[in-house]
Amino acid sequence: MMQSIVISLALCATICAAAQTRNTPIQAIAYVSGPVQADGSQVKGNVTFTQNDCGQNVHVRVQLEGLKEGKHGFHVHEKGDLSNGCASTGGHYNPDKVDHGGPDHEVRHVGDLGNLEVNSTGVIDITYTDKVISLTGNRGIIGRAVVVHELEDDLGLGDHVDSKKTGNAGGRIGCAVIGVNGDAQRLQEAAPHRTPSAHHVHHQPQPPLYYVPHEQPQDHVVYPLQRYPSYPYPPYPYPYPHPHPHPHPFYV
Amino acid sequence: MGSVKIEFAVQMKKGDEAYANTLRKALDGLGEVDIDLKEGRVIVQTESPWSEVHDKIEATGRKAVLSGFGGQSAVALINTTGSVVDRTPVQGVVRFTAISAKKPGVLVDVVVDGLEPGLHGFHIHESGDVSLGCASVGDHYNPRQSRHGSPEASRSERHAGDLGNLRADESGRAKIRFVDAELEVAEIIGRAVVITASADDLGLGANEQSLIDGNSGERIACGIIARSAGIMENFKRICACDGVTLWDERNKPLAGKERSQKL
Repeated sequence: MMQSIVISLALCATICAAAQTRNTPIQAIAYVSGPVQADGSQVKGNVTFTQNDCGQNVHVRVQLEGLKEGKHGFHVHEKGDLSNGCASTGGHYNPDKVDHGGPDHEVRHVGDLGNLEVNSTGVIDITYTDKVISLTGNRGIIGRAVVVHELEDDLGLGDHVDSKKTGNAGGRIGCAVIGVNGDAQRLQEAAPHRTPSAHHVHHQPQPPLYYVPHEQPQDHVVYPLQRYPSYPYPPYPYPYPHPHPHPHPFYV
Repeated sequence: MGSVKIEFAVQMKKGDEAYANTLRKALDGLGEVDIDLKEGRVIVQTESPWSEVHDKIEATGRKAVLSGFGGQSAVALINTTGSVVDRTPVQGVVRFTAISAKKPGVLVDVVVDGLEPGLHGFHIHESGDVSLGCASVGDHYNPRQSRHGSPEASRSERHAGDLGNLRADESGRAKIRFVDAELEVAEIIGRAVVITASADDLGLGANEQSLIDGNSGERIACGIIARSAGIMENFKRICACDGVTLWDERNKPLAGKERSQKL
């Protein structure tokens, strides 16, 4: 696991250096708070999107509670305008006008984030990486809406007429507007030399990249790459790889 | 003041000329009116607030839904929590649209109910994080690190997010439409608008706080600025996932069991 992280870190740095496309890291957050359902449950929690300075991938962290066990369709809609409910949000965010699909499919809406798989606790906390969505530019998802559905998204593979359009995931149990996370903004301001507009940006010394775990490390989780020390992760006293000879607190 | 095109979907029969004439009469004096009888679409080029046009259309006895506002546009739904909830004591809508595709300048159209009569500070804050309500949206949006000031002040004498004050009338409604020459729609998307309990002194107060937030006090309501449709951009009339139509959306919660159609 650790090896693969080091490799992917090196790879990312290489790709960035080669393409000379350093972006400022940016984070977005959607605070989901659904209506109270008949049984007293309520979908609640945060979805955060982090785009590091490499800019190709967006790390999505979903922390929600109050969901029913099972799979729930999860999409980004074109507009974040909830003034007239579903109608004003438009459809799934789909700038290329293609068919609905799964997050790993070649053909998918930009806003197709697949399913949230929830276990019997009703709580989900997952982090994964999406290669298609972006937080910047015209096609960025900031200001659009995330919607959590009641049922499973069939990823365009079902035989229902709506499968190729919406994934037939049933009604909505939670939605929220994706907003800029201001703390990431402050992070940017703290590192002004990384503004890509400066001509000499590539000649300036860059602080090294570190891998900063957000909680207890888990093997199946892909962690975002951030410069250390950085928000939103607590200021860990130990940079990684750990420089001291005694054991690292996480890997005793 | 900058006139903008506002698009409404109006519930009318195809080819109902008689109603079209009634509507033209109702909207007389507001600006140029273009009625598409086939699609049930009404586009009004006007300098009046969108809420006034909307009320005038609905006064003819038909449902109307705003479906497009100017060109590149954004909307913030205001309530006391900033997130998606049904009803709170303060409710409102703030719409933004670019006045020109090339130059900066944003038209801001505000209608908010449930305020104490009097002045209330009105600002754009840097972040759109409402996980802790209006408290977590950060400070005034201030990309140039300037002092707090009046919206009329020069760029270096105000925060970009300083939009001055809203004046609520006796009924608690604040309604205002103005153009801010400095802002751009693209830069404010994903941030939040906040309404405060006290008036903003526009940086003219005697204390230090005046140069930070104009002594505007507690944040009483906020909303995230979201992307919304310009005119002729959104033709969605029915929610594919649960069959709720455009006309029923207003009486339905945004999500949950109560949306289900039992007809």
